[in-house]
Parts: sequence; structure tokens; C-alpha cells
Amino acid sequence: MDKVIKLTKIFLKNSFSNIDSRMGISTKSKSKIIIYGLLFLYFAGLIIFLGYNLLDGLIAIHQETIFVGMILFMIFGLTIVQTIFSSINVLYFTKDSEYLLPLPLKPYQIILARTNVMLIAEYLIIFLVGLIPLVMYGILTKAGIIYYFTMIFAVILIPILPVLLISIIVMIIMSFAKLTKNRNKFQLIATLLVLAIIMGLAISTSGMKQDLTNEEMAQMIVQANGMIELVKGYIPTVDYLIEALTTKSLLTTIIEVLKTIGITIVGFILYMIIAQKIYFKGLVGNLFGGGTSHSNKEINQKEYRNSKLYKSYIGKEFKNLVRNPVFLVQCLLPAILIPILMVVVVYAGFNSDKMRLEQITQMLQQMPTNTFMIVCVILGVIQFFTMFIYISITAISRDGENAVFIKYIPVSLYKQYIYKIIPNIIMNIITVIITLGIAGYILHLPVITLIALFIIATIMGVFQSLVMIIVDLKRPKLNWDSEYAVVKQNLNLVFPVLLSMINIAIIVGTVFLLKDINVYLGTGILGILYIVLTAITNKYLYNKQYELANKII
Amino acid sequence: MISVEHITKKFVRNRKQKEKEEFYADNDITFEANDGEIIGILGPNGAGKTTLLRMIAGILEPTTGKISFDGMNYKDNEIKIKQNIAYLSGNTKIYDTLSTYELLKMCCDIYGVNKENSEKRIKEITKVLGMEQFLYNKIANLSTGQTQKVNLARCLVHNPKYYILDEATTGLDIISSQIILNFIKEERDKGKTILYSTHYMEEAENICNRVIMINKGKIIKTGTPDEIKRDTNTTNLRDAFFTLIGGVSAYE
Repeated sequence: MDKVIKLTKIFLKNSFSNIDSRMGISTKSKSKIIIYGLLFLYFAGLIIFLGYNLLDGLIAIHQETIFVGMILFMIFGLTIVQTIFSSINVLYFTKDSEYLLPLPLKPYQIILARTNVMLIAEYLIIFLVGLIPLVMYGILTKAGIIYYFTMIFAVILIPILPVLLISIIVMIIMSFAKLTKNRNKFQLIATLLVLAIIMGLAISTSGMKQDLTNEEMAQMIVQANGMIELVKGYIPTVDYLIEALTTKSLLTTIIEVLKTIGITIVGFILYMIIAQKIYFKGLVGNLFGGGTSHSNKEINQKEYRNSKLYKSYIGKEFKNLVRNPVFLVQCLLPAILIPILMVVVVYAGFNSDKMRLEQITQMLQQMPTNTFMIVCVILGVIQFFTMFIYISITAISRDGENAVFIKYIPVSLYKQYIYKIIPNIIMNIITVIITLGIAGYILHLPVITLIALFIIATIMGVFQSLVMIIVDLKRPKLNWDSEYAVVKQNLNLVFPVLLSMINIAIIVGTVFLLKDINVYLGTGILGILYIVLTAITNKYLYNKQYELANKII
Repeated sequence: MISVEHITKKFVRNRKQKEKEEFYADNDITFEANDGEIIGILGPNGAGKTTLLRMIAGILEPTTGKISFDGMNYKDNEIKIKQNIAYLSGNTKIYDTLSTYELLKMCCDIYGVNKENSEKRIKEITKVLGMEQFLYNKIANLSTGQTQKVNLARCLVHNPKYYILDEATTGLDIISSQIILNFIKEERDKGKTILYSTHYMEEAENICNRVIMINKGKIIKTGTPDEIKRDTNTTNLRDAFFTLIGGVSAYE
């Protein structure tokens, strides 16, 4: 067991460490703790706000137990989605597998340590999205101490079975399917499946909730409860834990928790038996098998076309983003999906109460659409959406050990930095267009206001892209095992959030200071502010272009 | 001609926890590499070969000293120098989401090779290095040897004048490494200036006109392979190196 713990620590350190071993630089600092603390507070606040509204509504109609069911199912579902993405990398595509196999380790030790890494990664997220709402439920329903103990068991136990289940499925596929010798194909298929499910759910949920009366709403809650009843039959651990968390009987709570522990142990034993039989078969096949298929296509005179340097360079950046499923999903797609999903979810939320929706629509339509406040709110919303575009913040890190390429080609470093952030600026513009399209449609904004918003949001996008590439240059993560290390286990990703928070604070401050100002004058002032900030940042990037590249070797 | 004058590179490394020390990866290195010459940079791992070549390729800035290419330095002519350099490292990774063809085409665009020449060049290089079979395959799916051929091909598209090759044959099989060595000799015969770092002494003896032996960041001997063998009274460069450092035990 000692070896398992040591291995787990090594894997975790390897996954989460931001230490550039070649530079001998450790980024441990108090500022990191402060950044994490701020981020935690920010997201925790957001979750409390959203969860409170939902729970408050359910308590009003005495259906609060549905909330527990929803949270537990969310934890279960989230674990499945996360594990689909992480398991293939953690189990099969880490560079250390080749070095681990010859070591005097028993197969179960490696499997256990790998599984621990996946579980710990899950707990980090579930603590935020699962534990906080459950604590809130306990407070609002005045639950006793037993509830909180049970809640801790629930949060610890629920992710285990989905992690084991998905890992086994991945292991089985890896043992037999030739497809999985190509990680990209596997990930792309998994990604598209998950996206299709999420989009389908979002769209069908929003469709379901349109034109509901209060009676229909109540009926729908009963139906939702019925759906939970139906689904939980297939997921016994969730079923038992819902019962354990919502019952008033201590004995029932103990029995249900023990049943969950029992099933989890049985699941774990089965997992270990199957995994020990098939994991290494797939791993060895993946490491040493396969070959290259050859194409006999000749260089076709007609297809050859020289491109301008900028086209070729930006094209390379886009190809890298599009052809790599991890970068595609984490860096490119959020620009399109997040505004659409957010609007669908928010609209569905409003629609769940027709009276409220009508009131909100009336209120929005009665508001003068050319007020400076509306402009600022929309800019704030755009800031929130664009913080999930990770193109610029990973522009250097995504290249990994290729990054040194930028230093020996005959193109100035500054030019290359600009080429690298152009995809971020383009995707930022797409987000702005989608958001403004939706806002314009709902709020009937004048075209001139939309144009002013577009210009200022684009300038903010350029500013954000410039700042983020500077951050990535200062703290590049070039030694990585899998692409996930760049887009998930990368501390730099807190910076887009921080910058968005600062931008939102600037916008809120401007509204506060200039609340009665003419909309165009106010927008102009904000525009000038961001043009100045962009110019200063650009100048800094230009002047320090060589110094900033010092960590790329 | 590549001229290197008294260059040093100082790094800071962690000695113990929270304790740092300065050290010289390269210390007072001076040499010249003439046109039509292959200069071998020899030494064990950690001798300072890679740091030296990275400084010459413009990847790292020397702490002190000067580097010039036919009188041009990086400060005044960075782009012009890089336009004429081919830098190849055994560890250089290339953009593996691209196909070989896409990578070569991108390099033609970056180095400003015109349409007629780039098309011709890609065809030539593909043929010379035997890459027809995998020209349209994604680089991620190629073997080590094939990847290194692509790496070499990438360096050639712009017909460079100076080659900086850092352990270019490390990890390659005998056939792949011979293709690269033959190519280097051919380029030398065309009047190109080539810096070739390796820790394979026999390989250096076979292709280099002159050799610079480095140990612990300092030059310990320069000369033609024959001169070095004669001066150290040995029959091969491997023995010559050990003689110069006082044997393996002295190195340890």
C-alpha cells in the first residue's frame, strides 16, 4: 500500500506540478494561494447564488428533497463526463507508462495509483459543485449533524463507481479496438458524443419548459421526481444515498450508507479483477504496437500553393487547435458553445416560471435600450463568456517542446506572438457576435449601440489576448505528458478568470461613476480606456519580445 | 564563416533546497568555422555542446562574448542570419498534428521560398530522403527515424548556408543515420558551413574536417582528427579524449 501512495503522489505531482524542470523554477508562492482563494470564493459564490435560487423555489412548494436527488445525479453525471475525457489520458497516454512497466511494481499497484489520480481530480471539482449545494441544503432545511456526516459519505462514495465503470469500458475498448491506437480519433468521438448529449439535454430541457402554467410546472416537478425515481433504479448507490440524506430515520440512514459502501466495495473488487486482466494488454499494445499507414499520393502540381507568411502561420495555429480534440474542445469550442448554452440554460430558467418570465421580458422592454448600464451589463456578460477561450493563454504552452521553433526561424518574435493570438481574437469576435445577436434580439437594441458594443468588446478581446500571451510567455508549461496538462492542469488558466473579474470590476466601477452619462459618451470613455490599455500592453510585448522568450529553450 | 569569440553562458541552478549556485555551461569558447568545413563539437553529456549550439542558433543569448556569421551579428541582422541557418537537434519536436507535406510547405512560407523553388525543393528533398511513402501522413504517426528525416527536411527547404546540427543522429538506426551523414558531407562539398555536435567519437572522426573537444564547459583541444590523435599519441578520438581528461576516473 505504501508503494501505491508513493506512486499516487508521483503521478499527482507529475500531473499538477507547474515546475519547469529544465529551468529549475518553482512557482510555489503565496500569490498562488491568494489566486486560488479568490477563484474559489468567486465560483463558490456563483454556485451558492444559483443553488439558493433553485432550492428556495423548491422549498416554497415543499419539494426540496428533489434538490438532493438533482445534486447527487449531477455529481454522478459530471464524474462520468470528466472520466470519459481524463481516463484515456491517465490510463494510457502518459509518457511515464513506458518507464513504469519495467519497475518492480505489481500491476494492481499501478492500477490503484492511476485510479486514485482520476478520483482525486474528480473530488477537487465535486467539492465545489457538489458539497457546497448539499451544505446549503442542510442549512436551509435545518438538518441535523447526521445529515452532514451522511453528506460527506455521499460526496466521497458517489464518484467511485462511475470512475471505475468508465475506466473499465476504456480498458475493454483499448484491449480490442484498433481505433484506440489513435488517441485523437478516440477522443474526438468521445468529445462529440458528450457534446451531443449536453446540447441535446439543454435544447430539450428548454423546449420542455416553454409555455408552462404554474400547475404544469408543479406537474413537471412531479415528473422530474418520477424521472429521478426511474433513473435511480439503475444507479443503486445514488438511490441509497438520496434515501440516506432525506430520511428522518437514523437507522435507515445507516442501512442505506452501508448498502452503498457494500456495493462500492463489490464494484471495486470486480474492477480490480477485470483491470488486472486487461489493463496491461491494452497498455502494452498502445505503447509498442501499431504502425504507420502509408499514403502513395504524389505531390500534385495543382494543389501546391504558396501562402503569405501570416496565412501560413495562423493556418498552422488553427490546424493545431482543430486537429487536436483536447485543444478543440477546451480552447476553440467554448467560444461558440458557452454563449449558446448559457443563453439556453438562462432562458429555460426564466421560462420555468411564466409569470416571472413575462415580468422580466416586460421589464427589459420597458427599459430604455440606449442606457449606458445596458451596454455595461452586456460587456460584463461578454467578459464572462470570453474568459473560457483558452487560446492565447496556452499559445506557447500548447507547442510544448516545439516552442523553441519560434526562436530559430527568421520571423521576429513579436510578429509570431501576434500571429499566435489572432485565433483567440477571431474566436473572441465570434463569441461577441453570438452574444450581441442574442442580446439584440431579446432587448431590441439599436444597431448603433450594437456596433459600439462590438467595437469595444473586440478591443477588450485584443487586450485580453495580449495580456494572456504575456502570461503564457512568463510561465510557459512546455514539458507535458498529455494535452490535458496544458488546458486543465495549468495554473495559468486562473489568469483569464482574474482578468475578466478585473474587467467586470472596471465596467461596474464605470457604471457606478458615470451612471447618468450619455450612452455614447460612456462607451467612448470605456473604449478609450481599453485602447490605451491595449496600446500599453502591445508596446510592452514589443519591447520585451526577447526577454519574454527566455523561458523557451 | 561562423566566428565565435570568448562566449560564456552562466546559469543558476538549485544546489540544495532554497540554495542556488551559479555555474558556467560554457566558459570562454572561441573558434571559427570556415565555409566548406564540418566542425565537430565533441564532448560527453553535460559538456556544454547543446548550450553552445543553442547560442549560435540564436535560441539562447550568451552571457558574454560575440557570435558572427560572415561578419553579421544577431543584434543587427537577426532575421537575415536566421534566414540562412538550419538548426537541427535530436530532441527537436515538430508540429505533429501537421502532415510532412504541410510542415514543409509552412517552412517554405516562413523562409520566404518562392512558389517555383519551394515546389521543386519539396520534391527534391522528399526524393533524396526517401519520404515519398509518408509525405501525407501526420507526423504524430511516424517512426523515430521518419520523424528525424522530416526534421532534417524542414531544415533544408530554404537551402541554408550554415548548418547547426546538435546530435542529429542520436537514436537513429544505422541506415537513417548514414543518410543524414551522407547528406552532411554533400552539403560540405557545396561550400556550406557545418557545426556538428555529437558524442559518437567515431562518427566525428569519419566526417569532420576539424574537431573541438569540450569538457565541463571549456575547450580542451582543437584540431583535425589526425592532429589530435598525433598530439595525444592515440589511434582514435575516443582514446584521445580520455587522455586529455586524464581517464574516466578523473572525469568522475
